[in-house]
Amino acid sequence: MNSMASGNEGGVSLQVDQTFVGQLRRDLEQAFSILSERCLYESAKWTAEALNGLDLEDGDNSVDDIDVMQDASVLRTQTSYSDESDVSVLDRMSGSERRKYTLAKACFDCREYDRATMFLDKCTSPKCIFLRLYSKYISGEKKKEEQSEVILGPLDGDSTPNKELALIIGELEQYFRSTDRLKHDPFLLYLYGVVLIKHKCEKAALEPLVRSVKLYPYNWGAWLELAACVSTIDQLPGILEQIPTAHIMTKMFEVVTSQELFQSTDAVFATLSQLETLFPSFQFLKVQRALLCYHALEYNESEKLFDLVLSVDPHRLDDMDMYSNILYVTEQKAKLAYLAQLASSTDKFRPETCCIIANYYSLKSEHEKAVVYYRRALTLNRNCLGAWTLMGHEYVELKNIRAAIESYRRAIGVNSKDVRAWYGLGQAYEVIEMYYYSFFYYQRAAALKPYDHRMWVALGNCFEKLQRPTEAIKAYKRALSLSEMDSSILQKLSSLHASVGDVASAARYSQLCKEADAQS
Amino acid sequence: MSSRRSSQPFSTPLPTSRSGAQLRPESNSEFVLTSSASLPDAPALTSARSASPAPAGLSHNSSILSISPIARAIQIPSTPQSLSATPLVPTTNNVYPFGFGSDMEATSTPVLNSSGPPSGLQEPDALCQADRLRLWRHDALMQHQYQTAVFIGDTVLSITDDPNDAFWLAQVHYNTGHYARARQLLMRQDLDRSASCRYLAALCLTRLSKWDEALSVIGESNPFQNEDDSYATSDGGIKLEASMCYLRGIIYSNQNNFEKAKDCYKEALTVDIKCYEAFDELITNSLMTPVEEWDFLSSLRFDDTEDGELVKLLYTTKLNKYYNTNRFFEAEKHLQTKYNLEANSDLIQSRAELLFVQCRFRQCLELCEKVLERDQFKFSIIPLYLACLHELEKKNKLFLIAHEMAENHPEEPVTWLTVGVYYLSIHKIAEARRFFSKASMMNPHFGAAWIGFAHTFAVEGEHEQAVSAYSTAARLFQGTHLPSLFLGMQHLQLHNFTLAEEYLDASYSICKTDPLLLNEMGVVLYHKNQLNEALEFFFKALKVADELDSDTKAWVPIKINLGHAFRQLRRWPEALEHFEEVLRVSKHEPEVYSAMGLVNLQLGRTDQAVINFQEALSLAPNDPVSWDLLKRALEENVNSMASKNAG
Repeated sequence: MNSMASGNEGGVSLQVDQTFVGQLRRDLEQAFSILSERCLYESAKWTAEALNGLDLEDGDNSVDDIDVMQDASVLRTQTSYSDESDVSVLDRMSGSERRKYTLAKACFDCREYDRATMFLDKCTSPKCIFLRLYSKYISGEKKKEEQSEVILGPLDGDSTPNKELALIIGELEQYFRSTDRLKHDPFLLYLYGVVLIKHKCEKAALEPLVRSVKLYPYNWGAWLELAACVSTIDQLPGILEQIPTAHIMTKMFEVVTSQELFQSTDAVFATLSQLETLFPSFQFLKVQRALLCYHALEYNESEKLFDLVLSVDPHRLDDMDMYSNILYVTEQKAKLAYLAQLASSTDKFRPETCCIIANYYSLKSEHEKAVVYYRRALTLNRNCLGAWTLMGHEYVELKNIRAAIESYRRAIGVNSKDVRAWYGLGQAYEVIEMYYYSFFYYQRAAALKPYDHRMWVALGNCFEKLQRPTEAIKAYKRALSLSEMDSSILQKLSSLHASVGDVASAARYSQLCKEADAQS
Repeated sequence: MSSRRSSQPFSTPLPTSRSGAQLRPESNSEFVLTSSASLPDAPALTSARSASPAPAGLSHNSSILSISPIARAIQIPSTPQSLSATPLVPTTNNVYPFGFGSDMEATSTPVLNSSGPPSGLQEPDALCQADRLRLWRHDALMQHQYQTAVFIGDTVLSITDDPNDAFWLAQVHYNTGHYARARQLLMRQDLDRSASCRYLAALCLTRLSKWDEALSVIGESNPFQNEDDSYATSDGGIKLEASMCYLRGIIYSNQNNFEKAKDCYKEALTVDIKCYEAFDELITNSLMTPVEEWDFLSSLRFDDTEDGELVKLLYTTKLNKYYNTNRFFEAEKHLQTKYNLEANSDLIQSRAELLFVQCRFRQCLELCEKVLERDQFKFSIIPLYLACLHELEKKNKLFLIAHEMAENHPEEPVTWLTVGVYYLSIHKIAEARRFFSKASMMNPHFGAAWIGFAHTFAVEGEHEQAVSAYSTAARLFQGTHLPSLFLGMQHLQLHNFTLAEEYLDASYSICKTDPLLLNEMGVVLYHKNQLNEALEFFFKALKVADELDSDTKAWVPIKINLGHAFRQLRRWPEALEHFEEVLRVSKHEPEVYSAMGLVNLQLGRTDQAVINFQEALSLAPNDPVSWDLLKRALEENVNSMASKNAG
């Protein structure tokens, strides 16, 4: 991870320099108001959390802080940040448009998206265009949800698309064509990326998103979308090349993307540590560390970190479904029950809460109930990452392979980096003896987690079923190289070698197998 | 001729003059317009004018209705004479020049002889009883009190037995809708030596659908064609010759003799460009091909005055939108700035038509709604409005307008077209067909209805019946390329490539700049495996779409076809490029994914191909071809992995 290393020099200076922290604080404060103005509330929330997670000296929380919050213009004159002028340009619009914007934003906040769109119909400033198209997009999503009806019903899925997407793309492309490339609004670029990803054009989304974060780095949503575009770890350096690596937001992005791609490497932990010294009480970073541990199968460490987060911020439901997964894997029924109670006392109707409860039922082998809760989670948010995969698992338990396959498929539709879903699909097709299908999915899973021997065992198994012993041997050998002397693999290898007539090798593996058995 | 004209006003008594204005029954509303027009030969009318205010004061002292020309004159005292005199003029100039013999003047000006000419010049008190009754009759007619008009008209006719009064009574009957009665009256009075009477008689007969008889009354061809008709009517009225030509056209077209009808309409316009009815028939029924239309317009003689320019610009905006868009813009701009017609609904409609051709349905809809806001039942724009609503799947609005139309205008064919379109858009094909057929029965020359009727068959896959319905449409609308285009498309679906090509070629000979047509032609070539030629057509289609500045919806199918053609030509990267662009800008179609899958399979990217096929299947789960391809891709995937391992 060269890029990470290159980021390190910047990192050293970050920790000590208090003026840098002050600058960052001002930037984040400004980002918060810019993001809220644009109704990007999730990103705004993240920014505010980051702001409160900063390591600020007590003296800094003094008078001028209040001034800054009271008067935005003061904020602007204070910041000597080079992009500053650009940032204020973002908000420029005429008086009449400003009034319309206020109205539209009020409508948006009251969830009247079509109205918001209508009021901004003829406005030309980028900010207005953004809000108009954004509310159009949200409205389309809402209608899509409504039309999809029941989870896994006949109308659920790709056959019910968001009808506004193509229109928004068309309008945005028109806008980008008609304005100077240098003057492109970062938020419009962001929206373009979002819509393209929704429209399954991830490849095309990359470029506008990179430009968006370069123009305005404090839009966390853009970084998340950019992370969604990265489907393998090999792509990450290519993207980092295009953006200023030393920037604090780039580091956040690096950590999150690596975490999502299961890269529990030392370099990632090092970057994360740097960020943690800068943001000592930013729970988000702790969760990232916990997730990295989880991927590295260090469940205890991960559990501790989650406990820590919960003790500081007990009502934080974000990512708590991941915590419940850990408790599920480690079979801690009581703790999982506690977490479920805590979550449902905070908000019963959050997808995360439903997932936690579903996990609890699953652990108690009440799979029907678990399915009910997963369905509820998905009704609340069809893009809920874990729920689709976990529901697939439940359906496998219930021997409903069709539904399981469909669930896994949807999981991949939401997040193509979900190894469990790919692997689950492979297993499901193996059950119904469609080995070509099963092979394909195992292959994808193996591409995402090439160092996991389970994937290669599964692939070897498929080759075996497809009457390709030579390839099967290769796959098993690969699996063997990634694990300790697993007796079952050795046994397979022995019998496969026997079947292709290589008696000597067969004997050797059978010998190894015996040794492995003896050891354990 | 000029001598005739100048002589008549003197001898025209008042009642006639007012009735004369009514000679154009279809243009009652223009009455107001004409009255304000300037009079080139005003001096000659002085005597008549001096008399006119007086009877007005006499007979209309209680009337404040502005439809009465004389009352209007009184309201503007500064120029009472010229204004009140105006209605007189069109009569004299229009009607009298047409005669069929030496006695023309006598017969064709019905009032002239019998009712003492000088009466108009007398003081109001001196009006004879007959004249007073005539005024009464006229006023009743103006106020649509037809019973009175018939009653008094009959009375005055009995008193005077004047052919002029008979003619005028016939007008009343015509207005009441009693066409046979009017016709009978005209027959009885043996009035058909006068051109205007013959015109009215023929009009009655067409109303009665007695086409042959009407034609024999009006004559099979224009008897004036050799006359020097270079003069313009001085008063802004329409020459009766032109109206007669137009009527002849109507008769021919009802006899399904479209060639002759077209010639008649064109002749009407050549005689007098003001005969808008003829122009409208030509344009709305697409009797001419797009090129012909433009040529014809430039061949027309518009006078050099400002009015001539205005009319020319107005007509320019009405022409088809496949050619010369820059000329349209020019005309539009001119009309907006110079003539202040920015808010004119016809001009907006023309702009909307252009937008429709460009497939910019949203903007088109906006304009249509703007027009309909002011004039809710502007029938001429409704087919366009319906097409937009259908295109944008605004079923609810279709429902509303269909109901409003059916409630308020059940007698209009376009109403039933609306209902049909509504049913078509909610996929109730049988009902849609019923209403389209109803509309086309009410007006057998209603192109939109015929095409809608044919579409219902096409939607249900009843290609044979669709073909026959489109053929009817093609026969009715020879100037538009659409029916033959649709015919070609039907044959394409039936895999009759030769026939399809013939029809498309025919369509192409009419219009060379419709992207849809060029696309279809490319498809035929594609099926005939002439891929490079197909490519050429697709590119041409794209270019045209680009020139028309069309919306994405117009060019997405073309791009898909381009992708297919490139795929067949094994130019994989180009094929992929086009497919990807299509996926980006449009709604996802399973076929595009399958095609991409095929390309990726060919390129050895089996994993990508599998994903493509799965996308296709998630959109269309019952497509056996995609399933088969997916299976093949998966097998290929294992093989490629195996060979990679081996290598």
